Amino acid sequence: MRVLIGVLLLGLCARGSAQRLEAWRSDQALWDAAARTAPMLPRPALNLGHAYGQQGQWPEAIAWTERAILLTGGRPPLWLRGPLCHQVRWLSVFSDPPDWSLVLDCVW
Amino acid sequence: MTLAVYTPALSFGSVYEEGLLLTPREAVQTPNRLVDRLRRALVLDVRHAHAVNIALHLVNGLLLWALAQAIVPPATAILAMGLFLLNPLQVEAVAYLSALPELVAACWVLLAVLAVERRWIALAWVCAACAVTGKEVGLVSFALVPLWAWWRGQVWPVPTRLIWAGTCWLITLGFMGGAGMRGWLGGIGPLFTVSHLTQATRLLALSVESLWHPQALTIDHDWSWITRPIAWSVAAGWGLALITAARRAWPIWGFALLWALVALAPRILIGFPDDLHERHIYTATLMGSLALASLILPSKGRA
Repeated sequence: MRVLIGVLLLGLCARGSAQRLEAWRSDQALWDAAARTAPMLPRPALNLGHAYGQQGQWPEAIAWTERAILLTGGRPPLWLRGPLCHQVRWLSVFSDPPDWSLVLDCVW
Repeated sequence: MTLAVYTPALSFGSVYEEGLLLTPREAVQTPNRLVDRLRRALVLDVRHAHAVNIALHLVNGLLLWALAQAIVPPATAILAMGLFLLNPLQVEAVAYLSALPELVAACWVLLAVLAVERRWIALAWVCAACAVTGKEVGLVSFALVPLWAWWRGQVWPVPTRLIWAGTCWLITLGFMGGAGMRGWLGGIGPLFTVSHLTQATRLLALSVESLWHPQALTIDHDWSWITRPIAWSVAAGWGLALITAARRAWPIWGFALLWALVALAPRILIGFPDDLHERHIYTATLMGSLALASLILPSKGRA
């Protein structure tokens, strides 16, 4: 009986690992999973926006970047300001994002 | 089974900061560890880098099996190895190329403990020192090795203890100075410690929860739920568990808790810039796998 429990546990572990591994397939999968698990954190939203942008999916990229800005309450922590500004500039170059200048006054 | 689970990772690209680690020039803001420099020099592409991580994970599992064989029956040792290798919590350490230092440090820690199990203390010292080449927090190997020796009932001669402790302190202080770790000590305090202890506890609990709920695992955890009462309650829980373990002459589950606490001590006590993530729990869960296997397939004797 105990051996059976051990084997079942190993099977559960293998299944869980295989499922979790799929999240590491790409940036988009990784940050999509992170944004689902921790929806109130700005970094997953920002990085998911970046992942969409890299694939040329601009509407999604802009939406997730906006969400990241919203989650910071317009006052991003110091460590997030650089990546946030960089991403906004990047999106501005390659697409036509909405005017974020008011939201990002504190950042600039 | 582990190979079957992790083989798909060989076809994965680089994610998040991994691309920076594989960049030939060091003009990136990543820790310039020896292991990272070696990787830049040796690794040709992402596929090879993934293969190295998977291979090291397998080696660590085998080392744990070799260690477990010294204290539990063969079937329990195999189960401990399987639980460690296949735990979903370890996926971040294996699939994330930036986590290679964790795998290297754990490998040296296991070699050091294996050496001390055979009472080759000088070799154990060398292996413990090598753990630092993987990761700064590999310094904990200097505490984990004597911890294992103590739990196994070894009594070291006084000169050996003095030499071990003295050289370890020298290396630790030298390393902290050289790595500029003094700047990280600013946030130290009781609340900081219990808050990080709560984070570590949550991650350790995830090693069980992830079995039926792998979606709970993430590269970025939200710790906003940790309040003062929760943090102090968790600290009290740890105290109670350790006292209970001490009263029962340190059964394997108690030792596993102590091991995890010591392995995570630097991250609990000092404010590391990269905070606490699932990959940082890798070494801490080694004895947990052994303890769980021993509970499922119990053996006679202390273990």
